[in-house]
Amino acid sequence: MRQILRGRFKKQLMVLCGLLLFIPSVLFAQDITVKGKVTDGKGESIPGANVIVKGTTNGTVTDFDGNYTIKVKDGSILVYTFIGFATKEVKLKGQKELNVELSEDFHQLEEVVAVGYGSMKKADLTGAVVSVGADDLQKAPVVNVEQALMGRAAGVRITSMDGRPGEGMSIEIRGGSSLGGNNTPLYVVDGFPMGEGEDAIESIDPNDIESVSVLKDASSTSIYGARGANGVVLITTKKGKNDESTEISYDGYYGMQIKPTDFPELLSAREWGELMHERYPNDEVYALYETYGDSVAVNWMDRILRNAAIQNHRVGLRGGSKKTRYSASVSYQNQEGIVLYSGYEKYNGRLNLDQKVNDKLSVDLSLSYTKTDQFGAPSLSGTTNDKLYTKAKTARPYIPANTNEDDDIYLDEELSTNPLAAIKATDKVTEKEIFNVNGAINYKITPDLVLRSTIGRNGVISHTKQFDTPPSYYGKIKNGRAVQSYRKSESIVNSNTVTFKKKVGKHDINAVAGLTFEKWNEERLGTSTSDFAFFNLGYNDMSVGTSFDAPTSSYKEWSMLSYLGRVNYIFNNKYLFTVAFRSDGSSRFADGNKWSAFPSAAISWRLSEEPFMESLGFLSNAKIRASFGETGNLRLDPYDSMARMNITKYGFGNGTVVGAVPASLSNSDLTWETTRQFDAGLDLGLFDNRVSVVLDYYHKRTNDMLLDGNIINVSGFGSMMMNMGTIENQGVELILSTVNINKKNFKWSTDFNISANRSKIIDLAQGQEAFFINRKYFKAGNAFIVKKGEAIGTMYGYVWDGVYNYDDFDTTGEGAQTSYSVKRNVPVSSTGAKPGDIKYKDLNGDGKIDTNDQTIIGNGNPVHYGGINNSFSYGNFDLSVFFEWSYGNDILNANRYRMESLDGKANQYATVLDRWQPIKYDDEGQVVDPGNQNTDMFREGGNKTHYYSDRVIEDGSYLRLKTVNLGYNFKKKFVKRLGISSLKVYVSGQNLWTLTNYSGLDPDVHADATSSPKKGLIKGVDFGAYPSASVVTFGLKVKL
Amino acid sequence: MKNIIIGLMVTLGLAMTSCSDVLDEDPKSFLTVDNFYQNRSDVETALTGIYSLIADADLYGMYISQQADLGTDAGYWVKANSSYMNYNITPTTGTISKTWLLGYKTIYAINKFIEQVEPGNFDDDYKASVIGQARFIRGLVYFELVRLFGELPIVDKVMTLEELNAVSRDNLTDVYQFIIDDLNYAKTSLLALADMGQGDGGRASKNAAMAILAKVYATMAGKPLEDTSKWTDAAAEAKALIDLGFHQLNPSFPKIWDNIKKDIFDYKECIFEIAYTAGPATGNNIGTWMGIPTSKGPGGVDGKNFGGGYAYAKATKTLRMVYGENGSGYDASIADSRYHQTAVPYKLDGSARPSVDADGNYKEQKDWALCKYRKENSNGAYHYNLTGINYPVIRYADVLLIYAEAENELNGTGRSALANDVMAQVRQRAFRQFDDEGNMTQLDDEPVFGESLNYDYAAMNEEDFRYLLKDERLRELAGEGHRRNDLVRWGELYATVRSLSGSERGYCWDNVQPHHVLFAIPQNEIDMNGNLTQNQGY
Repeated sequence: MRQILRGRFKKQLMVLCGLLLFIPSVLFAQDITVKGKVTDGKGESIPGANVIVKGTTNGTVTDFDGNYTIKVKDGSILVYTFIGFATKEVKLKGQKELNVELSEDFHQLEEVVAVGYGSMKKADLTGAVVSVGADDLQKAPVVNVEQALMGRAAGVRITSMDGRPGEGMSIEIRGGSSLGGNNTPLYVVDGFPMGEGEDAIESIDPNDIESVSVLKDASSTSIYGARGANGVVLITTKKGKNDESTEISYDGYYGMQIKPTDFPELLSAREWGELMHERYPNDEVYALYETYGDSVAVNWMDRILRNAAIQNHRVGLRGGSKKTRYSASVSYQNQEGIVLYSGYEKYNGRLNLDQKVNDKLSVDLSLSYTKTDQFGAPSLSGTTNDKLYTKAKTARPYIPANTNEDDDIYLDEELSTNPLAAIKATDKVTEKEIFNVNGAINYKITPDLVLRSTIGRNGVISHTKQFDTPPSYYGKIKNGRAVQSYRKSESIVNSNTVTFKKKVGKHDINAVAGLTFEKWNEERLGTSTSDFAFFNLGYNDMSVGTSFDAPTSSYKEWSMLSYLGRVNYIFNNKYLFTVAFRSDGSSRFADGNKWSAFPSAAISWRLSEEPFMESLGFLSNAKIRASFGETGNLRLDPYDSMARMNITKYGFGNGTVVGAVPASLSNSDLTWETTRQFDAGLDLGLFDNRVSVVLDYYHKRTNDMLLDGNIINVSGFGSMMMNMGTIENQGVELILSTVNINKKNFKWSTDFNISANRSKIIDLAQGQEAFFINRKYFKAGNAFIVKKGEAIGTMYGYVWDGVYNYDDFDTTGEGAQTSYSVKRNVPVSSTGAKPGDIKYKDLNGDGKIDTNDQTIIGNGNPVHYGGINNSFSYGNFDLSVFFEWSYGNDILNANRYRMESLDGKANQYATVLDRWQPIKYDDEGQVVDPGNQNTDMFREGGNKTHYYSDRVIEDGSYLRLKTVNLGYNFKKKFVKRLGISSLKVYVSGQNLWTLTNYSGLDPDVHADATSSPKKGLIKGVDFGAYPSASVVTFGLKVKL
Repeated sequence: MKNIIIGLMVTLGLAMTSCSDVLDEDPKSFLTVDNFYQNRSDVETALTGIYSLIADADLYGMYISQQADLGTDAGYWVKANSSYMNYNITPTTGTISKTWLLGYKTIYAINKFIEQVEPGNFDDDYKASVIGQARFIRGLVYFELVRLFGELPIVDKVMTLEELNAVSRDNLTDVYQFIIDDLNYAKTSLLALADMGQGDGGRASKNAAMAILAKVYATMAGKPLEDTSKWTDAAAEAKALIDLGFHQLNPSFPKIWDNIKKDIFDYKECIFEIAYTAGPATGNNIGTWMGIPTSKGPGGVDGKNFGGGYAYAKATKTLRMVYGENGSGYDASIADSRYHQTAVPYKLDGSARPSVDADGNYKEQKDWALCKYRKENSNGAYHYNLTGINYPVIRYADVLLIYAEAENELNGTGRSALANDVMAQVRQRAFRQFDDEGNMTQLDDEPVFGESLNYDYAAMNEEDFRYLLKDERLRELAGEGHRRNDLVRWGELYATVRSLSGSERGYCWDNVQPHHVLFAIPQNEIDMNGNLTQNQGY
């Protein structure tokens, strides 16, 4: 019965297709009737393949058994096409029967790729679009799509912030084009723009994804106008099928995250005690350091870490009938953190439903719901005292007698927290719910003209609760502290587009025009209470606290109205033209500056279609592309163009009276950032597309950057949002995909991509050469410079020059009475110098070390980065091995700044064992201890300036075995006996091996422990990062 | 089907026609500057905002109230890491730029206020009273800025950025004249303190304008302007204030500080106070940075929490010796109550009591706290760091000493009898005896201090009187943010500070240079506007 239904359906489909193609063909006179069969490489017939007479619209479709019949003039060329196979052309030389074997197309030019407001065949693309399929994305045990995309798409640089479960990633497409700080792309899920950042990413289960397209050049992103400048990531989720099937699937894995053990070595209890004794020679406690045996030593880092489980379960239902397609899934992910009491849980549900009402009308609906819980103390926000991962390193490495590890053993001021006890005493969770509803109607006004109207709502509710009890830092100083913050955002999008597709003779037109309207709002509420009478109720009853901070609340909204259009025109299948346009109106700017237009154009030439190329038989595809266009960026606060008043309070009498003060100047000139981008590309397919090459060069220039620029303070204000400055990015990207071996039982293919980007700040504000970015973890000086002619992410500081040694000093007196004074020609800073002090270079040669001796000492941007994936299949086994790398980027290892500070009571890296130590004399002037002068490590207390230098800048290059996945597909015969249609088991490993010279734990890091608005202007910082783990999982895929 | 298409078209059409207003901005969670100042409530709110600006840390909240005396013979900052209190001043020193910025921010807020309120639909008396308050604060802020930075661009109205990028520094005479004009306007339009109640505590008054004016004139008479003719105005203005008959020294010196921390406005002594209420919105760090050191964590007994006391402001040995200490350490026999109020050698324990050793003697610290503002036993709301302790911008004692100084400069030995009398008033009230809360326990007719300390001012020549007056100002006002300005106008800053090198702890003494009488103009201003020149020496 089922077979019959299927057959009937297929027939109807064929008739439908046939009719479409056949209608015009009756106009032609036919001479001969040709019959034949179309088969694939294995001899299986291909039903539904198109057979067309070249240069005409005359054609037919193969039937259920792959047979076809067509009437044609002798001598004409027949073109055979079928999705997934290379197109084949055969010239008719009088045959009555023509059997054709199509070979698999390895890099499917017929593949349909999502582009903004529509989709296109890969072969017809004129812009730089890279797509990544579900297979690649789902190999790694990850919770977010960004993690899966890492290293897989040329031109897309993704770096981890740190290893905390649920923590966001930093993603940048073709370099940062904005100094405003936010360079994340626009995410669009099934046509619905989700905004930027975490919420968009979290709402998607990577297993629900069908494909991801990344739009990179202006011709492909300008249809997103004012939000296209940072690139656009289009995510398409799985849809149902019209084939009367019902597929129930289960995907699941379970595995372990293995805590790292290769930490930089710390001082042992005895070594630390010895250092303290050096620092505090009169303190009796430390004089006993030799007794700090290993029995009381404690490695805090080890105590707060664990091996943690990760698991994922997804049940999917997918199918459909002639008129209905559906795909539904529910999934659950649980990633425990390798730091105690941290973790991430995610529940996801998605429903995609398409219903055909009649031949002209169809509707589709998609719903998705996501709930996430992120547990554990924060790693990347909060104050230094809050940073437990840093605390765990710096904490005193032993527990005094008569105390245990849970006690608040550090009552002295510098080490006020026991890391383990503090982690236990901090209860923090962020709960987030993301709800999406998106509906659309599609109406065929004529067969060529389709109207699509969508309306959708995306809502995010995020609620953070934290309760600190002693002995955590805030628990202690505030005697219990509860904080709750609540955020609710909502966006509503309506889009109405008309798509026109028509092929007439050699002319092929695909055009879209439309209008969209978007509205976004966000509410926030925050409150905190401290001084708790008792701790039992925590944040669930904040009235137990007795000291209340003023609650905060805010409301923001913006709206955007846009007109858009795009025309793709292909002539003779050789010359491709795209013109796209978007005009955006935004509420964020003042009247007169609300509207801006973003045009683009692209041209492309498929050389391989030219007769003169036919002699190059190995060349199966060759296309050159060029595009130019404008896109924009408007990531600014909705009300930045207005002069606002801030609420203040003043204590007239004994009371509190509310006041208001002007808090900003209005800037009605504020307008869009504009990025102009030129892209030139080459697509090559060789040997029946067994080798394919995509090469791109781009040049981007962003003008009128939106930046909070300094203004004259006599105005009453330090800065104002302004359009100023220019930044340039240029680079090359290469994608090389090869099918190395293609035997029936053994296949091996390789995908390689490499990207190089150079960014350069051309201009800042008027008259401004540079500005600095300070970081709190440095006691002195700046960390980064934003300077004309340099890239964003340029590190700035002193040049380290070892230590001051005895020969830098003149001496008076002898033996223990020797006093040292710096030789006249030896430059020192204002704090002076003693033998063994840290030394910096006097770059300007003025004889002293001061701020003028700072220079550029590092760059957080890589020279190149990329990935290489090898996939093998042998019999029922498949294996993929994916490496990812970054080369030439520097990392500012701020951990070392702190852990080799030889200052205070914090524990230190074991590298300080080699510190400079003086020669010690007895009263007779005899040497009793030769000390240690043959070293680069300064003495205890020898870093009084606290300058930041290239001593802590390290090469962050790495090559990493990111993912290995070995799977076994059970034989059909076997699984049929189990009553299921397919069964696969696999084992997968993540981050198993890394080649790097970086001394820190993980070179893939960007853990800048501050929440500064200028965060986007720094790159490659490692400070107090949550350690990242290696992961091994075992998985199962079952289809019923 | 047709209906659906029509429906869609209508939707599209609607979207397009309504586009003119869908992009309008209507901020709901904040006020915008234009459209404000519509009614009396708005005006009051904006005026309160102006007061809150000067209460901020970068002006009176921390800088002037707590740090302006550090790096003088009155006190020092105990840590090495301060730039300006240790005279490590450069054009990019952040704290200095912040005071400059906040000063001009206040000036902008006032100019905007005047621009909006002046043409507003309010009666003239009301306008005069609110604009009078605003202009009082503008005059006060310019007075603070001119003493810190020297010549300043006078911004007397709302100007565009283009205009501001072309202004230059006006000369001192013009800046001072501008200050005098503002204060005179305030003097004629504001209520006298006699007509104000406790709820107005912290509000500007006619009396405040007069007191500040007296000080402005005295400052003009000194360096760098040296317009000695202004001594006449200083004496006249101070005399006028005295003649109001309203003001009176609080008989108990410690009681002043007890009132201040308890938010009791003693208008007769404290003519103008910056009013704080404990907590993050309206509190300040007074008492925390400058106060008596406490161990960390909430402390206190009997519910009298007093929170953190970092007490980085320290009293010099020189200051203690001016009160009569011989320099070897705490001397309980010193009768001058100002000694005990201004500098203490001890820390507070968790019960808010001084740490003492087994014999009951103070455990003397290496650095003595400069601590007029004590937070222990303060009433009212508690906050860990942010206290409600008020800052008195000007006290009656200050005005009396200005009057005496002006008379001495004008007439020498021929100074008025009142000048001699007020000197004695200020001195005598410090030698009475009090209980813990500052209430006087000594009757008025008992002799207040020993014969040897009782100066015969009338018999003193100009030199001796001046010498004594300078010391009396130090004894009376140390730790209240006046010392630096006094030393500058007397031309003694560099010599005095440098002379303490070697004998005092702290990091400032060797760094001071003659050019430190003025701070550096923030580099940003010079970068933005080439007309703005840098002060000499930077």
